[in-house]
This record gives sequence, C-alpha cells and structure tokens, in this order.
Amino acid sequence: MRAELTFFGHTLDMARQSRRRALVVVLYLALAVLMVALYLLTHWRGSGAYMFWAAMLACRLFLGGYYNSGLVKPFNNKPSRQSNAAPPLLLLKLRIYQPVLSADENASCNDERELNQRDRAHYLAYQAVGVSVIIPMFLASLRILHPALLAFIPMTPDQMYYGLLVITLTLFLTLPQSILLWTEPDMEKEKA
Amino acid sequence: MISTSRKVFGIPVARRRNRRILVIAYACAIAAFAGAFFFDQARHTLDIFGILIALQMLTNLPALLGGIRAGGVVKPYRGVRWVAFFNQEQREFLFGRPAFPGGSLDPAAAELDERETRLRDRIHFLAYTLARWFALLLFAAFALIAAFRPGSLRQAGLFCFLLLVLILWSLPQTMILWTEPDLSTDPNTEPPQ
Repeated sequence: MRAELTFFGHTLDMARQSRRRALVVVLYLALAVLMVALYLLTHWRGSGAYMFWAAMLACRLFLGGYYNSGLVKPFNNKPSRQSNAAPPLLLLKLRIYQPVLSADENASCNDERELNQRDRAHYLAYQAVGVSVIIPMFLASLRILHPALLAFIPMTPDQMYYGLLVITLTLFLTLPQSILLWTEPDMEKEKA
Repeated sequence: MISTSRKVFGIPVARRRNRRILVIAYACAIAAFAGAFFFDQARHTLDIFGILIALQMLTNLPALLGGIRAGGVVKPYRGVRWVAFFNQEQREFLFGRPAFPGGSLDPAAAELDERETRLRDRIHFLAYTLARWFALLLFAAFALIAAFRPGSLRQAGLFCFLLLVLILWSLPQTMILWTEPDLSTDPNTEPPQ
C-alpha cells in the first residue's frame, strides 16, 4: 500500500490510518449521494451505469487495486507497462499523469506480506458480499408473503432489484480496497 | 482443508477425481434447480412454490459442500462455533444412538491451520475475481432485458440474485475441491496415485 496519494498534482499524506478511514467514509458517502440523486432524477432509467463508472473512477483516483494509480497496489501483481506513446494532454493538464520510472517498476508489485493482506481482504469482502446478497431474496419473499409490510417503499420491484444489483456491483468493485485501507495501521515514515 | 473422513452420497472425497465428479454433479443440480425456479417464475410470477425452491437451494446445496457451515466436505472457514456435534460419546440417546452421517466432529480437526488459512484466503481472492466478472455480466444482462423486454424485469431481477447467491456461496468450495490434490485418509500412508 502506498503512503501518499497524488491528486490533481497535489501530494496527500495518507500514512495515518485515520486519514485513510476518513477517505473511505467520504467515498462511500459520495457514492450513496450519487445513487440517491440518480434515483430522484431518473429513477435509474438509463443512468444506473453511471454508478459503475463512478466506482471505477474512485478506484482509479483514490482506492487503486485495479489500476496503477490509487493507494492500493494492483491486485494482479504485475509490473506496470510503460507505453512509448505520448501521454494524453488531458492527463497532463489535470496533473494526474504519473510516469513509471525504471527504478519504480517493482513499486507496483506486492511483496509476500501484501499478497497475504490482499487475499485476506478479499476473503472478508467475499463474506460481506455473500451475506448482503441475501437481502433481495428476503425482500422478495416478504413481498409475496406480506405485501403490506413493503408498501411504504416508493419503488417498483424491478427498480428495487436493479438498485440492489448496482449496490452489489459497487461493493464488488470497492470493498477489498476499502478493507485494506481501513485495517492497515499507521505507516512509519522512512528515515532519510 | 478437506475432511477426508466425510463421504458425499457414499462417495469418498479423498481422491481428486471423485471430488471433480462431485463438483460437476453440483453444477448440474444448480442448473436444474435454477431452471425449475425460472420456469415457475415465468409461468406464475413468484409464488410460494418458487420461494420454497429458492429456500431449498439456498439451505441445502451450499451446505453439502461445507465451508460456510460445518458438516460438509470442506472444513468450515471460521472453525466450528456450534458445539452440538462435539463429544458424541458423552451424549445419551433415548432410543439408541443414531448414526451421524458425517461422523463426530473433532474441534481441533475442524480448525484451519496456517497453510489452510492461506489457501482459503487465496481461493477467495480468485473466487472474488470470478464473481466480480459474473456480477458485471448479470448487470449487463439486466440492462439488456430492461432495454428489450422491460416486462420481464421483475422475474429476471430475482433470478439474477438467486443465481448470484448460489454462485457466491459455493464457488470457493468448488474451487478447493477441484484443485486440491489427492489426499491420504491415513496420515501414515502415501496419497493414492
């Protein structure tokens, strides 16, 4: 895991656990607000995919895991590839282009301890997602057996299933990184 | 990671070939149950019969493999917390002793050692990656149904989640059963070739 986060040209110190936990809380709050806003505006008709792209953007900019950028190193444990092509102008202008120097090639690879942490985080995330996907089954059964109990939910069943599927997908994309960021203790700064 | 003392439908699971047959049979059972559920839903929407099928699938099929609970082929991931099956010798039975199908559980044998814990975590990492792609596929399928057959969304949504639950609850166990090499039932003997 990296101790610094480069965000639009600014370097943020994320060595402290409290900062990383605050980042996780803010990210999930932002995703929840976006989800509610999309429902209020469009009832998720044609806009549910925005949640997927928002989660991917959160991974790219903050969480990492699936990209070389972000706090968590790539899960696939492969060294980053450096393209000979010129970087896109947009990335240069936004100051989020991070060239991979030859000395940093191994910095994107996980060591033995980090691989164990990665696997452990995925185990915990798998258990959490596995339990959370029971909720739609429970709600569907309740809707059949006691329809009056769910009458207060102001959405149709297909909207509810779609929303829950979007939430499940968002958790799938972000939960292991969040667990890693949440549980990793304070990092010691390297002595010069 | 695998309880070699257990048998599934009388078939020992020490040999990998038997375990792979078990995994294939399990996948066929899931397909049959899911097909019945989908057929019932398509005809009558969701009714009590559909709920019963879903409950049967969710409670019985993953329990057969173990992992998420004790008594299956794969050791429980979190050890055994419920002690009803322990100390079978000290229990008294009113009408003779019934034969417990899985044999008595040994608390020490049910706990995972360090190698098994690492294997469990590693398998879950791989299973998580596969399940993530599967969830993405379901999301795309749901979006396609919404675009072309919006009237079927209610049935498709519940079916997607049922399939997701079944896959999530059994994928790591099936991967463990599929990949673990032949095991020896006696620690003093060599594994069968």
